[in-house]
Amino acid sequence: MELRVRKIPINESEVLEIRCHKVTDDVQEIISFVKSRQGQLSTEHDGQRIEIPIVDVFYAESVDNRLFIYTSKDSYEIKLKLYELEDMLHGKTFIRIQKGMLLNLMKVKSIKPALSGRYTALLKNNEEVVISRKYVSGLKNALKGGGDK
Amino acid sequence: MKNKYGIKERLGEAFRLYFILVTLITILLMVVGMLFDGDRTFSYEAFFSPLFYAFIGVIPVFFFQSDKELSMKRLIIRNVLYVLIVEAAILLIVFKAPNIPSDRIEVVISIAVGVLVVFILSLIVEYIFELTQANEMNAYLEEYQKNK
Repeated sequence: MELRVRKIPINESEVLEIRCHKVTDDVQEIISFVKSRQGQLSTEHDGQRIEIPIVDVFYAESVDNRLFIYTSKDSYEIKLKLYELEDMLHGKTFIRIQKGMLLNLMKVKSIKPALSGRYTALLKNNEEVVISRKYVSGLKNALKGGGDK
Repeated sequence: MKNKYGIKERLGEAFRLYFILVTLITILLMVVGMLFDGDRTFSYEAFFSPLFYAFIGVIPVFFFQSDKELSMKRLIIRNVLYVLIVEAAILLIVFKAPNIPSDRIEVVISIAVGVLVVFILSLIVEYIFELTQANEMNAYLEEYQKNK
């Protein structure tokens, strides 16, 4: 696919247009990336394309190489890899809490200990997710304002 | 993100567990000793006993760790295996040590029960430590959510 970037005058609206023969998974990935940069995740639900505001996402989980995002009541599959989503959400309020899970810290009600160095995060929709002990120190740093890197 | 649970973290965990065990074993030795052998006197060498027994109790930490996140069921099975191995090791020492009256069944039972009690208490102490950490994280979380 040829890539063109053209500078435009300040009074014109910025437009990203993709000209393609077919909306393939690769094209969809590009669309998802752009949407995520705008604060939205693009997905399909009941055959219709919908946009999920990132602020509404409670957590994202990778299951059998498929990535799902969970809102207060619903879940949606998105055509991205977890690490790609993690990169996109870098600097936002998401942090890795398991090998296959990203958690939105703004959706956490409280944290309590589980067994053997693990913790459980109680979410604002009363769902619980496990924080793996490998990721506890990263979580603490992020909460203290030190970032997760 | 730093997310490896490597030898440094395991050493830290073992170190913390070691001192919890030293304290609890000292109390256990005091209780069992006063119950069954209250008149006996020891030399200063006796102070090594809790340090030694705690060391035995910590060794399985390095063999029972998994990089995989265990389910609750597997975690319980792991802990049961852990305590059985420590029980076996301690009882082996009890039967081999010349100065422990292992011919008295009540002494052996007390030590076996004592090991189990120490194990459970160590889990409780760990839980209290983790609860403190969780409270600290909750305070940071509240601040974090206010400032975002």
